[in-house]
Amino acid sequence: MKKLFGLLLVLFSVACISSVGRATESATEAEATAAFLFNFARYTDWPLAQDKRQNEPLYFCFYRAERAAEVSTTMLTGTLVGDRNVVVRSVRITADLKGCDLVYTRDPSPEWLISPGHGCLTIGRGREFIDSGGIIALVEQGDHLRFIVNRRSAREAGLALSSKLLNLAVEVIDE
Amino acid sequence: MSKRRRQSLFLNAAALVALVVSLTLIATGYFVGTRWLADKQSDSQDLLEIVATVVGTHISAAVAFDDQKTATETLASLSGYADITHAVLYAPDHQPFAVYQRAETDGPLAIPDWQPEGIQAGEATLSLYRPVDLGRGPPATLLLVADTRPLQSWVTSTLWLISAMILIAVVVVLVLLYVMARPLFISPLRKILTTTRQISANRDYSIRLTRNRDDELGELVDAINDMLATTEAHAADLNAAVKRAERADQAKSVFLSTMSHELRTPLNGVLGMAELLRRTDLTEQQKKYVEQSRSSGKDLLAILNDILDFSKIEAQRLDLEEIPFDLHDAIEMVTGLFQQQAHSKQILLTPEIDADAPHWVIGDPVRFRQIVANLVSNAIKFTARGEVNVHLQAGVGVGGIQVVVTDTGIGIDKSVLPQIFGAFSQADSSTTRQYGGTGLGLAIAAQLAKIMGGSLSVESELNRGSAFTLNMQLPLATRDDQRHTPQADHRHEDLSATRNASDNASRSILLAEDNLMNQALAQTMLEEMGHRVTAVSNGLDALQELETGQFDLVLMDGEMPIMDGYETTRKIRDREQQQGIPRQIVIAVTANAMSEAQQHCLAVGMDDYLSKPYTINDLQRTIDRWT
Repeated sequence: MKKLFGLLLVLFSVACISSVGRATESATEAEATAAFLFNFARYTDWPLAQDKRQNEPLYFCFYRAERAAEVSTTMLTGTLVGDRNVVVRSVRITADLKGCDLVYTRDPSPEWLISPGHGCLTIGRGREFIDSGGIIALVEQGDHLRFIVNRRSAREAGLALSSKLLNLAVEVIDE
Repeated sequence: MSKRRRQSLFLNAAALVALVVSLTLIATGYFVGTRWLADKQSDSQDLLEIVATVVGTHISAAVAFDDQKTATETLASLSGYADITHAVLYAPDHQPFAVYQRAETDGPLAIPDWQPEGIQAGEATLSLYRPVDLGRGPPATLLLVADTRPLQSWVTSTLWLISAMILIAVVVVLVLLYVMARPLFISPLRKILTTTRQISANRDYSIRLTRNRDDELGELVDAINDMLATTEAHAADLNAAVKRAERADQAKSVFLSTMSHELRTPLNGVLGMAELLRRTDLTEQQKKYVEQSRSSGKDLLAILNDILDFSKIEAQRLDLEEIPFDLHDAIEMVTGLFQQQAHSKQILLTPEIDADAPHWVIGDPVRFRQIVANLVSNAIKFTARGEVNVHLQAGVGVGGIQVVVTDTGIGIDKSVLPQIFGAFSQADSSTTRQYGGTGLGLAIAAQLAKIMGGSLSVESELNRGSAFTLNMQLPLATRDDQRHTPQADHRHEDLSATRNASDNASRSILLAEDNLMNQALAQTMLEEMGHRVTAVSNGLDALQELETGQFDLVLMDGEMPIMDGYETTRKIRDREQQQGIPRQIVIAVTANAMSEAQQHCLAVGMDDYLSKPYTINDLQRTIDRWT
């Protein structure tokens, strides 16, 4: 039954890509995105907020990115980052972003990025996202997915990014 | 000295030390070496693991972000480790994700297949498969391959080094041992050896070793010195004992010689005079008396000869001759000698000689005849009627002879058979009283047989008779030997057949004899033979007579007052040599029957000798031999 559902989902996704174009991502793209998000989380240190206890879930929020949210729910739910459980949320309104540890959006310059909240790793797509104040932007280089890091935004958000991550970034903006 | 290779204490000790040192070093080398090797292997394994951990940590992000370039660059950082020849990073799907190959390695790298976590030792490689955690899902795998050849060559070179060190150590130890052992052991031992050898060679037990050390060698020196002291004392005791024994032996010899001389001299007179008396006109009764006294005298002479022979055998001073002689003749001669005696007892005495019995052999004919004569004499003595048979036959092996003397006499009781060849042992003491004799005859025969390498045995049955068997092994004489046979053996002429071949030519004879009765006896005998006799009583007178007169022959008594016969003979020979005059024939007439005395006669230059007592026939034969 699950397989059948998966197959229907793939068929639906293919139909969407062909009809919506680049507005939404393919299943492969979504999987790669989910993997990258997970790894970004692995190489990021969150500040210990007073209202958050250790071992609390790590909330991955997908703002208007249902496709990625869907794939990530399958791929990442229950995985551990450090000792925190990954919980995937699909978010439609800005108000629901409160409490998110990681936010992914396909929106290149969302308005909420101006004050995304302390301790939130914001990940988007394209250089424009960085310019708008996002922390990590996924970019495509040939067949490969790469990323750009804005260290200043990360610092402002109180996040520490691993040197390994910085090392792998195609560009690190720190001004 | 034995011809075996000399064992050296030092070489043995050196070999032992070398063995111990080598074994110790080999054992140490082995243990240390294996520990080092294990440490080295463990070290290189540890290093590989550490490198794998470090690289794995660094490379995980690159795999996670699917960044092949960075992963390859990270692997390239392994160039800092010379031993790592190549490395492969496998993606979670086990496909190679990034590869590193050391620049120096030859040829393209054949990428090994993925393997689960573990370490594998190849022929010259050590491969470590290490999972790289990616946070979620199956891990990536990092393979590091290290070249173990440097380690192996290190092990080989270390082994060579250890072997060289063992060799050097052994050589050094041996040199040290030699340098140290020489003054410590070898030199002192050599010194002890030289001195003890000198002591053995010279039998000088008064020598002592000098002690100049306080260790075990010093104690050894003390012990040897103690032993030498004991040996010296012992040798002194022994020497004293030997001297005492020699003196006693000499005394015995002198006693025997004296007894022999002292008994023979009067016996000569008794027998000679009886013989002369027999030749005069006597009544039948007188003739019988004379014959009886002659017979008794002869018995006495036989006993005297037996005692002398036995003494010589006992003292092991009997010298045997080694000359060719005819066995058949010897048997005939002995039986011939006893024919008259057997005939008078009406006993048949028959010689029997097998055709295959050895004929000519080499040995002492006189002693052989003496054995057979003793057996025959014994057989006749104890046989009242019947016969005595002397049978010569071939014995066992080449030169084996067997003489069996059987009689039909009184026989010997089985209980006394074992002692029959002992001295002074006739079957019982009453035998001696009944049959006479010293009981030495068989003992002498048995002893003679024994010293001639033969044996004498007896079988007997009481009242049926006895059989004495002489077994001997004598070398067969060659034809050449037979040709060189001495013409006559004149030691015991009484055993040989009487010869009547003398011519009756008159000789002038100088007779030197101090015993007046014997002088008279000899003079009468010689004059009866038709010789002219000049008699003197000492050597000096004899010399004077020889200066003025011419004599065909001198009969010289050995023991005389003023100048004895030996001294006189020496002077005669000296004078002959100085004046170049022809050799005067001198015949010793001695009462001393010991062979030493006879040898002495010949040694001082006498030509022959005649033992007292002698018969007129003996005297005639001796004179005939030289004129």
